[in-house]
Amino acid sequence: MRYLFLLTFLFSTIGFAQKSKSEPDSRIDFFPLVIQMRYQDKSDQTRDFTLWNSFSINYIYQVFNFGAEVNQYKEESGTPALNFETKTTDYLVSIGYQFLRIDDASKVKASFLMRAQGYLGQNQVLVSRSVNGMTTLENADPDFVYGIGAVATGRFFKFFIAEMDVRILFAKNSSPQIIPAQTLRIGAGFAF
Amino acid sequence: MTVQFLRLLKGLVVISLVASCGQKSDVDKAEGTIQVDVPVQKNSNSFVFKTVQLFGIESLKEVSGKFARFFYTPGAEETRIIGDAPKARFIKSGDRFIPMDAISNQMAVIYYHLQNMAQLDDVVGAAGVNHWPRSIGLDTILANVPASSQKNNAFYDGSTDSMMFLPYTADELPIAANGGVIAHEHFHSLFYKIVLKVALNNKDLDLFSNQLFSIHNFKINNSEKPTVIFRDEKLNLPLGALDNSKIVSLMNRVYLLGLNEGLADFWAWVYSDDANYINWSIPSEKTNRTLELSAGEDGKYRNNKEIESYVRFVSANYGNPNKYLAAYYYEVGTPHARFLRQLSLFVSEQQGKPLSEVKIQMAQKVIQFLKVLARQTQSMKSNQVLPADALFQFFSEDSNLVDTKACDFILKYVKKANCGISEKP
Repeated sequence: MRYLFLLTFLFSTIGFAQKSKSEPDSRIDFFPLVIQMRYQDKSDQTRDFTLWNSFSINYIYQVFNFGAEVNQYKEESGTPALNFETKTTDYLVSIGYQFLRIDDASKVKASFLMRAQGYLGQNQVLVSRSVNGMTTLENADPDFVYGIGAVATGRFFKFFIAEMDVRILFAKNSSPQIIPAQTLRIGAGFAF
Repeated sequence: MTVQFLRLLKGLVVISLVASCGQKSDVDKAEGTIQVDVPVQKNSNSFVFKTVQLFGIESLKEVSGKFARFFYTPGAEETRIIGDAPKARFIKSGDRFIPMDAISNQMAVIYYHLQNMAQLDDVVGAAGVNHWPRSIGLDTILANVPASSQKNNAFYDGSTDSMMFLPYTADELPIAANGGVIAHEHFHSLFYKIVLKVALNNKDLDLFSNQLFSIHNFKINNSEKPTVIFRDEKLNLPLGALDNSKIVSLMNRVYLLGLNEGLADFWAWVYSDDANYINWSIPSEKTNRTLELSAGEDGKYRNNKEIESYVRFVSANYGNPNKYLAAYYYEVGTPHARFLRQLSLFVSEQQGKPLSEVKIQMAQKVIQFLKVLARQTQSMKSNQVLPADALFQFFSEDSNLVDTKACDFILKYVKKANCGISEKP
């Protein structure tokens, strides 16, 4: 059901695409500087924004965006004598469709773009526990992650790029199951 | 066009949410008998993670079921504990669930130990004393106590019949993960229901009201710590300012609550097999609370005369003697715990029985003693003082111990020629 939804979403949006000005068909963007916040349950019994470390790379062909990203979150609780460290890692691929583009022909040569995006991937949770200095590692059974979102992109001077996305992610065993997330990315890209 | 797209997006989000809601997580699906990894004491030197079974789980998300239900930072409303359940988080690895954080771990550990406590209640003759599931408060915030007393402690609250854990901020094993502490607090619920409720109903005794029974005394400023002054001025106590009936009431209170603490420590040893179980979580209490009887300490305990002197001193010198008396409960109680442990070791050695078996026998006798004590307090008058050697006298009446090393040990605590002879007036 959920995969059908993603496919429906991606293909149905194609009809609303706007033609962009002529430029090379392909480009690659990568984002070494990423701040991702997810609103989820924490070890202190609160539900609050958590800060994830992320890296992502996008391949753009015409109005289509194909992305891959790795997101990681660590939290620690307990005491030195009985400690819990939980590391959650998401491996996501995304497909986006650009539905809006506004170009600025000034010296800045900026473009503002918006796209809708679907995500699919897997998350892996690793719990590292220690009692009296003895540490054991436990891996959770892998869990699917999928979601939808919208991305606003600003390109400047051909190479520089900044993106902000909002998304809703779903994973069966995450807490809560539906997690809103917001990401700010700064990177660079080149067309070819 | 953009409007159309946004409408489509909105529709898809709704479809996505509806599709998502139909899926239960592994934790939501778990019920009945669940395998969970928790830290348990392997021996007196180490804790290890072990896969254990939790029985009767109704909601693993709240770790609630047949044996426990949890409240996070709870409140109290007359005779019941109120508040929301903490949310436990686990990962599933094969058939096992692994706690993801310290609070989830505490919930699983406490549930595990409480189901063991239910079994222990059955075998020692205390089945039916407690109602299950037990109510547990985590990260409890206490009002009207100094900040230093709002952490690193646990207590049983008789008025709400719940076991409360305060936030743990030290570096050691959290109190809520210490099986010995859980057994200690559980015993308080037995003592409360078998003895103290009866004592509270006897208006002649005028013992106390709404008493908390904590794992260790609430801290008081060193500058006004009465135990230090008491020891220094032991031989020159001032005269008490209270009338005799109040002094008698306080003496009975100190004895009963001291005994409550001592027997709870014995219960912790019976369960954990660790004479220094408190050391894992509160190392500062190790020396005072060890259950190991050191050389030359056998036969020593706080007798009625000493308790009276202390009560008179504190009541004459401090506006609120209760605070200082609470620190004294452990001085009264700990010799009882050491006595019972040492007696168990002697009996095991002499009768060639496994210590685990002897511990259960001793625990059964403790429950019998509590019932005797309850009958005694029920009919007491306001001028009567409970004998501080009551427990030792009770154990000296065991005819199986006549002319044994264990009997010789008991006779150091009571003035009798031999065991098995009742010398009650």
